Amino acid sequence: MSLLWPERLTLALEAGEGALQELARKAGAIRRRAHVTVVLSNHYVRYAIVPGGGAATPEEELALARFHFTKIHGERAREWEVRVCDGLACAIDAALLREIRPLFKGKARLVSVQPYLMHAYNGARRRIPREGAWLVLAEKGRTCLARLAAKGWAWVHNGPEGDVEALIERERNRSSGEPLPAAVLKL
Amino acid sequence: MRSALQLDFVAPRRRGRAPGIAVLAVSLGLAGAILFKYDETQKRLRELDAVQALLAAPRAAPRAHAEAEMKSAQAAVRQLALPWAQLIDSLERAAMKEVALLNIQPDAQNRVLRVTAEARRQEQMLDYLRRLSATGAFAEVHLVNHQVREDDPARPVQFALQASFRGGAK
Repeated sequence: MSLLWPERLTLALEAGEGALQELARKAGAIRRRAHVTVVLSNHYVRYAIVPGGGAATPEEELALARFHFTKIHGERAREWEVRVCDGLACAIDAALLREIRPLFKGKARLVSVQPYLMHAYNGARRRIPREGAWLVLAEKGRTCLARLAAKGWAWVHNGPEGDVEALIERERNRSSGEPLPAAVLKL
Repeated sequence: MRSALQLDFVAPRRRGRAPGIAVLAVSLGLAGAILFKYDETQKRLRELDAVQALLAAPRAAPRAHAEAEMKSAQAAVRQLALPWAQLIDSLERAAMKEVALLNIQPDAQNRVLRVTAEARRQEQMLDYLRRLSATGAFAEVHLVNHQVREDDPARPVQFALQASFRGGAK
Protein backbone atom coordinates (compact mmCIF):
# COMPACT_ATOMS: atom_id res chain seq x y z
CA MET A 1 0.00 0.00 0.00
CA SER A 2 1.36 3.39 -0.98
CA LEU A 3 2.21 5.83 1.79
CA LEU A 4 1.43 8.74 -0.49
CA TRP A 5 -2.09 7.79 -1.42
CA PRO A 6 -4.77 7.08 1.14
CA GLU A 7 -5.88 3.50 1.45
CA ARG A 8 -9.37 2.71 0.14
CA LEU A 9 -11.42 0.87 2.71
CA THR A 10 -14.94 -0.49 2.49
CA LEU A 11 -16.81 -1.14 5.73
CA ALA A 12 -20.26 -2.67 5.98
CA LEU A 13 -22.94 -1.46 8.36
CA GLU A 14 -24.65 -4.74 9.16
CA ALA A 15 -28.16 -5.18 10.47
CA GLY A 16 -28.98 -5.69 14.08
CA GLU A 17 -28.18 -4.24 17.47
CA GLY A 18 -24.62 -3.20 18.10
CA ALA A 19 -23.93 -2.75 14.37
CA LEU A 20 -23.11 0.95 14.77
CA GLN A 21 -20.80 0.19 17.70
CA GLU A 22 -19.06 -2.42 15.55
CA LEU A 23 -18.65 0.15 12.76
CA ALA A 24 -17.29 2.66 15.30
CA ARG A 25 -14.80 0.05 16.53
CA LYS A 26 -13.59 -0.62 12.97
CA ALA A 27 -13.34 3.10 12.25
CA GLY A 28 -11.37 3.67 15.44
CA ALA A 29 -8.92 0.91 14.52
CA ILE A 30 -7.84 2.68 11.31
CA ARG A 31 -4.28 3.84 11.83
CA ARG A 32 -3.24 4.80 8.28
CA ARG A 33 -4.67 7.53 6.14
CA ALA A 34 -7.75 6.03 4.46
CA HIS A 35 -10.76 6.92 2.36
CA VAL A 36 -13.65 4.95 3.70
CA THR A 37 -16.80 3.77 1.96
CA VAL A 38 -19.61 2.57 4.18
CA VAL A 39 -22.01 0.11 2.60
CA LEU A 40 -25.42 0.05 4.24
CA SER A 41 -27.26 -3.19 4.75
CA ASN A 42 -30.63 -3.29 3.00
CA HIS A 43 -32.18 -3.29 6.49
CA TYR A 44 -31.58 0.48 6.58
CA VAL A 45 -32.68 1.26 3.05
CA ARG A 46 -36.02 1.67 1.26
CA TYR A 47 -36.11 1.45 -2.50
CA ALA A 48 -38.73 2.61 -4.95
CA ILE A 49 -39.12 2.85 -8.69
CA VAL A 50 -39.83 6.42 -9.75
CA PRO A 51 -40.99 6.85 -13.32
CA GLY A 52 -38.57 9.56 -14.39
CA GLY A 53 -40.44 10.63 -17.50
CA GLY A 54 -42.06 13.65 -15.83
CA ALA A 55 -38.90 15.13 -14.35
CA ALA A 56 -36.90 17.61 -16.39
CA THR A 57 -34.02 18.23 -13.99
CA PRO A 58 -32.24 16.17 -11.29
CA GLU A 59 -33.87 18.42 -8.66
CA GLU A 60 -37.34 17.62 -10.05
CA GLU A 61 -36.48 13.91 -10.16
CA LEU A 62 -35.47 14.09 -6.48
CA ALA A 63 -38.65 15.96 -5.52
CA LEU A 64 -40.67 13.33 -7.36
CA ALA A 65 -38.85 10.57 -5.46
CA ARG A 66 -39.52 12.30 -2.12
CA PHE A 67 -43.20 12.60 -3.03
CA HIS A 68 -43.22 8.93 -3.94
CA PHE A 69 -41.79 7.85 -0.57
CA THR A 70 -44.21 10.13 1.31
CA LYS A 71 -47.08 8.59 -0.63
CA ILE A 72 -46.02 5.05 0.35
CA HIS A 73 -44.64 5.56 3.89
CA GLY A 74 -46.48 8.66 5.07
CA GLU A 75 -45.18 11.58 7.13
CA ARG A 76 -42.13 9.77 8.56
CA ALA A 77 -40.61 9.80 5.07
CA ARG A 78 -40.08 13.56 5.49
CA GLU A 79 -37.09 12.77 7.80
CA TRP A 80 -35.41 10.60 5.21
CA GLU A 81 -32.41 11.29 3.05
CA VAL A 82 -33.42 10.48 -0.50
CA ARG A 83 -31.30 9.78 -3.56
CA VAL A 84 -32.40 8.89 -7.06
CA CYS A 85 -30.63 7.65 -10.15
CA ASP A 86 -31.99 6.25 -13.41
CA GLY A 87 -35.50 5.95 -11.97
CA LEU A 88 -34.37 4.00 -8.88
CA ALA A 89 -34.86 5.92 -5.65
CA CYS A 90 -33.57 5.01 -2.23
CA ALA A 91 -33.99 6.50 1.20
CA ILE A 92 -32.45 6.16 4.65
CA ASP A 93 -33.11 7.82 7.98
CA ALA A 94 -31.29 11.14 8.15
CA ALA A 95 -30.51 10.28 11.80
CA LEU A 96 -28.52 7.24 10.68
CA LEU A 97 -26.30 9.42 8.48
CA ARG A 98 -25.82 11.82 11.39
CA GLU A 99 -24.64 8.89 13.51
CA ILE A 100 -22.24 7.54 10.90
CA ARG A 101 -20.46 10.79 9.98
CA PRO A 102 -18.81 11.51 13.37
CA LEU A 103 -17.32 8.00 13.52
CA PHE A 104 -14.76 9.02 10.94
CA LYS A 105 -12.26 11.64 11.95
CA GLY A 106 -8.49 11.99 11.87
CA LYS A 107 -6.86 9.67 9.38
CA ALA A 108 -10.08 8.00 8.31
CA ARG A 109 -12.09 10.13 5.92
CA LEU A 110 -15.64 9.15 5.05
CA VAL A 111 -15.94 9.51 1.29
CA SER A 112 -19.07 7.47 0.57
CA VAL A 113 -22.15 6.04 2.24
CA GLN A 114 -24.00 3.86 -0.22
CA PRO A 115 -26.80 1.31 -0.18
CA TYR A 116 -25.89 -2.31 -0.67
CA LEU A 117 -27.76 -2.44 -3.98
CA MET A 118 -25.59 0.35 -5.44
CA HIS A 119 -22.39 -1.30 -4.23
CA ALA A 120 -23.38 -4.74 -5.58
CA TYR A 121 -24.79 -3.43 -8.86
CA ASN A 122 -21.75 -1.26 -9.67
CA GLY A 123 -19.49 -4.20 -8.99
CA ALA A 124 -21.48 -6.52 -11.27
CA ARG A 125 -22.76 -4.25 -14.02
CA ARG A 126 -20.26 -5.59 -16.57
CA ARG A 127 -21.85 -9.03 -16.43
CA ILE A 128 -25.48 -7.93 -16.53
CA PRO A 129 -27.07 -8.96 -19.86
CA ARG A 130 -28.30 -6.19 -22.15
CA GLU A 131 -31.86 -7.52 -22.09
CA GLY A 132 -31.91 -7.32 -18.26
CA ALA A 133 -31.84 -9.68 -15.32
CA TRP A 134 -33.27 -10.51 -11.94
CA LEU A 135 -30.81 -9.25 -9.35
CA VAL A 136 -30.76 -11.02 -6.00
CA LEU A 137 -29.16 -9.63 -2.84
CA ALA A 138 -29.45 -12.08 0.00
CA GLU A 139 -28.53 -11.01 3.52
CA LYS A 140 -29.21 -12.62 6.84
CA GLY A 141 -32.89 -11.92 7.46
CA ARG A 142 -33.28 -9.81 4.34
CA THR A 143 -33.92 -10.41 0.66
CA CYS A 144 -33.69 -7.75 -1.99
CA LEU A 145 -34.84 -8.66 -5.46
CA ALA A 146 -34.79 -6.25 -8.38
CA ARG A 147 -35.94 -6.63 -11.94
CA LEU A 148 -33.71 -4.82 -14.38
CA ALA A 149 -35.29 -4.52 -17.82
CA ALA A 150 -33.55 -3.57 -21.05
CA LYS A 151 -34.68 0.04 -20.52
CA GLY A 152 -33.77 0.25 -16.84
CA TRP A 153 -35.06 -0.45 -13.35
CA ALA A 154 -38.56 -2.00 -13.56
CA TRP A 155 -39.29 -3.30 -10.08
CA VAL A 156 -37.62 -3.66 -6.70
CA HIS A 157 -38.53 -5.59 -3.61
CA ASN A 158 -36.71 -5.22 -0.29
CA GLY A 159 -38.23 -7.25 2.52
CA PRO A 160 -37.71 -9.98 5.12
CA GLU A 161 -35.79 -13.04 4.03
CA GLY A 162 -37.93 -14.94 1.55
CA ASP A 163 -37.90 -17.53 -1.18
CA VAL A 164 -36.42 -15.89 -4.28
CA GLU A 165 -38.15 -18.30 -6.68
CA ALA A 166 -41.52 -17.57 -5.13
CA LEU A 167 -40.89 -13.82 -5.28
CA ILE A 168 -39.92 -14.03 -8.95
CA GLU A 169 -42.99 -16.14 -9.70
CA ARG A 170 -45.23 -13.64 -7.98
CA GLU A 171 -43.71 -10.75 -9.93
CA ARG A 172 -44.06 -12.77 -13.17
CA ASN A 173 -47.78 -13.10 -12.55
CA ARG A 174 -48.17 -9.45 -11.56
CA SER A 175 -46.41 -8.05 -14.60
CA SER A 176 -48.12 -10.16 -17.23
CA GLY A 177 -47.51 -8.96 -20.73
CA GLU A 178 -44.12 -7.32 -20.05
CA PRO A 179 -41.00 -9.02 -21.42
CA LEU A 180 -39.29 -10.59 -18.41
CA PRO A 181 -35.59 -11.39 -18.11
CA ALA A 182 -34.41 -14.96 -18.05
CA ALA A 183 -31.17 -14.46 -16.14
CA VAL A 184 -31.09 -14.50 -12.34
CA LEU A 185 -27.90 -12.97 -10.94
CA LYS A 186 -26.94 -13.39 -7.31
CA LEU A 187 -24.89 -10.32 -6.47
CA MET B 1 -22.31 -1.71 -20.51
CA ARG B 2 -24.81 -0.09 -18.21
CA SER B 3 -23.89 3.19 -16.47
CA ALA B 4 -22.98 3.19 -12.80
CA LEU B 5 -25.67 3.61 -10.20
CA GLN B 6 -25.18 6.80 -8.20
CA LEU B 7 -27.11 6.65 -4.92
CA ASP B 8 -24.38 7.95 -2.63
CA PHE B 9 -25.39 9.79 0.55
CA VAL B 10 -22.00 11.48 1.02
CA ALA B 11 -20.20 11.82 -2.30
CA PRO B 12 -21.55 14.58 -4.53
CA ARG B 13 -23.61 13.45 -7.47
CA ARG B 14 -21.43 13.11 -10.52
CA ARG B 15 -22.26 15.37 -13.37
CA GLY B 16 -22.60 14.03 -16.85
CA ARG B 17 -19.61 13.88 -19.13
CA ALA B 18 -21.04 16.30 -21.68
CA PRO B 19 -20.19 19.55 -19.80
CA GLY B 20 -16.68 18.26 -19.12
CA ILE B 21 -16.15 17.38 -22.75
CA ALA B 22 -17.47 20.80 -23.79
CA VAL B 23 -15.06 22.55 -21.40
CA LEU B 24 -12.21 20.39 -22.69
CA ALA B 25 -13.07 21.21 -26.30
CA VAL B 26 -13.25 24.96 -25.56
CA SER B 27 -9.95 24.78 -23.63
CA LEU B 28 -8.22 22.93 -26.46
CA GLY B 29 -9.57 25.47 -28.93
CA LEU B 30 -8.32 28.36 -26.80
CA ALA B 31 -4.94 26.68 -26.34
CA GLY B 32 -4.67 26.23 -30.11
CA ALA B 33 -5.59 29.87 -30.74
CA ILE B 34 -3.04 31.06 -28.16
CA LEU B 35 -0.32 28.85 -29.69
CA PHE B 36 -1.12 30.22 -33.14
CA LYS B 37 -1.02 33.79 -31.80
CA TYR B 38 2.26 33.06 -30.00
CA ASP B 39 3.80 31.72 -33.20
CA GLU B 40 2.65 34.79 -35.13
CA THR B 41 4.00 37.13 -32.46
CA GLN B 42 7.35 35.33 -32.52
CA LYS B 43 7.51 35.72 -36.30
CA ARG B 44 6.63 39.41 -36.05
CA LEU B 45 9.31 39.88 -33.37
CA ARG B 46 11.91 38.24 -35.60
CA GLU B 47 10.88 40.56 -38.45
CA LEU B 48 11.16 43.60 -36.19
CA ASP B 49 14.59 42.43 -34.97
CA ALA B 50 15.75 42.08 -38.56
CA VAL B 51 14.49 45.57 -39.46
CA GLN B 52 16.10 47.02 -36.36
CA ALA B 53 19.40 45.36 -37.22
CA LEU B 54 19.23 46.95 -40.69
CA LEU B 55 18.44 50.37 -39.22
CA ALA B 56 21.15 50.09 -36.57
CA ALA B 57 23.99 49.15 -38.98
CA PRO B 58 24.75 52.62 -40.47
CA ARG B 59 24.90 54.13 -37.00
CA ALA B 60 27.97 52.07 -36.19
CA ALA B 61 30.23 54.21 -38.48
CA PRO B 62 29.65 57.60 -36.79
CA ARG B 63 30.11 55.91 -33.50
CA ALA B 64 33.49 54.52 -34.56
CA HIS B 65 34.38 57.97 -35.85
CA ALA B 66 33.47 59.54 -32.51
CA GLU B 67 35.64 57.00 -30.70
CA ALA B 68 38.60 57.85 -32.92
CA GLU B 69 38.08 61.55 -32.20
CA MET B 70 37.90 60.85 -28.51
CA LYS B 71 41.20 58.92 -28.62
CA SER B 72 42.85 61.74 -30.53
CA ALA B 73 41.61 64.29 -27.98
CA GLN B 74 42.86 62.16 -25.11
CA ALA B 75 46.30 61.91 -26.79
CA ALA B 76 46.40 65.70 -27.19
CA VAL B 77 45.53 66.17 -23.53
CA ARG B 78 48.31 63.76 -22.54
CA GLN B 79 50.74 65.61 -24.79
CA LEU B 80 49.77 68.94 -23.19
CA ALA B 81 50.15 67.45 -19.76
CA LEU B 82 53.86 66.63 -20.33
CA PRO B 83 56.38 68.31 -17.98
CA TRP B 84 57.77 70.43 -20.80
CA ALA B 85 59.68 72.87 -18.56
CA GLN B 86 61.50 70.09 -16.72
CA LEU B 87 62.24 68.35 -20.02
CA ILE B 88 63.81 71.42 -21.66
CA ASP B 89 65.70 72.29 -18.50
CA SER B 90 67.24 68.81 -18.39
CA LEU B 91 68.20 68.96 -22.06
CA GLU B 92 69.86 72.37 -21.50
CA ARG B 93 71.81 71.14 -18.52
CA ALA B 94 73.11 68.17 -20.49
CA ALA B 95 73.96 70.30 -23.53
CA MET B 96 77.55 70.16 -24.83
CA LYS B 97 79.29 72.36 -27.32
CA GLU B 98 80.40 69.28 -29.27
CA VAL B 99 76.92 67.73 -29.55
CA ALA B 100 74.20 69.18 -31.76
CA LEU B 101 70.56 68.14 -31.28
CA LEU B 102 68.86 67.39 -34.60
CA ASN B 103 65.44 66.23 -33.46
CA ILE B 104 63.50 65.93 -30.19
CA GLN B 105 60.42 63.73 -30.22
CA PRO B 106 58.48 63.20 -27.00
CA ASP B 107 56.04 60.24 -26.84
CA ALA B 108 53.46 61.13 -24.17
CA GLN B 109 51.64 57.81 -24.50
CA ASN B 110 54.71 55.78 -23.56
CA ARG B 111 56.34 58.60 -21.58
CA VAL B 112 59.62 58.44 -23.49
CA LEU B 113 61.74 61.05 -25.24
CA ARG B 114 63.49 60.22 -28.50
CA VAL B 115 66.46 62.41 -29.38
CA THR B 116 68.49 62.43 -32.60
CA ALA B 117 71.84 64.22 -32.32
CA GLU B 118 75.26 64.53 -33.86
CA ALA B 119 78.61 64.48 -32.03
CA ARG B 120 82.06 65.16 -33.33
CA ARG B 121 83.45 62.03 -31.84
CA GLN B 122 82.16 58.81 -30.34
CA GLU B 123 83.50 59.67 -26.83
CA GLN B 124 81.49 62.88 -26.88
CA MET B 125 78.35 60.92 -27.77
CA LEU B 126 78.86 58.63 -24.76
CA ASP B 127 79.64 61.66 -22.59
CA TYR B 128 76.37 63.26 -23.65
CA LEU B 129 74.46 60.10 -22.70
CA ARG B 130 76.05 60.16 -19.27
CA ARG B 131 75.29 63.86 -18.78
CA LEU B 132 71.66 63.35 -19.76
CA SER B 133 71.43 60.48 -17.34
CA ALA B 134 73.03 62.60 -14.59
CA THR B 135 70.34 65.30 -14.82
CA GLY B 136 68.04 62.88 -12.90
CA ALA B 137 65.03 63.74 -15.06
CA PHE B 138 65.13 60.40 -16.86
CA ALA B 139 64.86 56.94 -15.44
CA GLU B 140 66.68 55.27 -18.24
CA VAL B 141 68.82 56.65 -21.02
CA HIS B 142 70.03 54.34 -23.73
CA LEU B 143 71.49 54.48 -27.18
CA VAL B 144 69.21 53.22 -29.90
CA ASN B 145 71.65 53.43 -32.80
CA HIS B 146 74.68 55.36 -34.00
CA GLN B 147 76.62 55.73 -37.23
CA VAL B 148 79.60 57.66 -38.56
CA ARG B 149 78.59 59.99 -41.37
CA GLU B 150 81.06 59.07 -44.07
CA ASP B 151 79.68 61.72 -46.45
CA ASP B 152 80.93 64.51 -44.13
CA PRO B 153 84.68 65.23 -44.23
CA ALA B 154 84.65 65.86 -40.45
CA ARG B 155 83.12 62.33 -40.05
CA PRO B 156 80.74 63.17 -37.17
CA VAL B 157 78.75 60.47 -35.33
CA GLN B 158 74.98 60.65 -35.76
CA PHE B 159 73.08 58.85 -33.02
CA ALA B 160 69.60 58.29 -31.61
CA LEU B 161 68.81 57.82 -27.95
CA GLN B 162 65.73 57.09 -25.97
CA ALA B 163 65.08 58.27 -22.43
CA SER B 164 62.12 57.39 -20.16
CA PHE B 165 60.54 60.19 -18.10
CA ARG B 166 60.95 59.80 -14.41
CA GLY B 167 57.98 60.07 -12.05
CA GLY B 168 54.21 60.37 -12.73
CA ALA B 169 51.85 57.66 -13.76
CA LYS B 170 52.15 56.12 -17.15
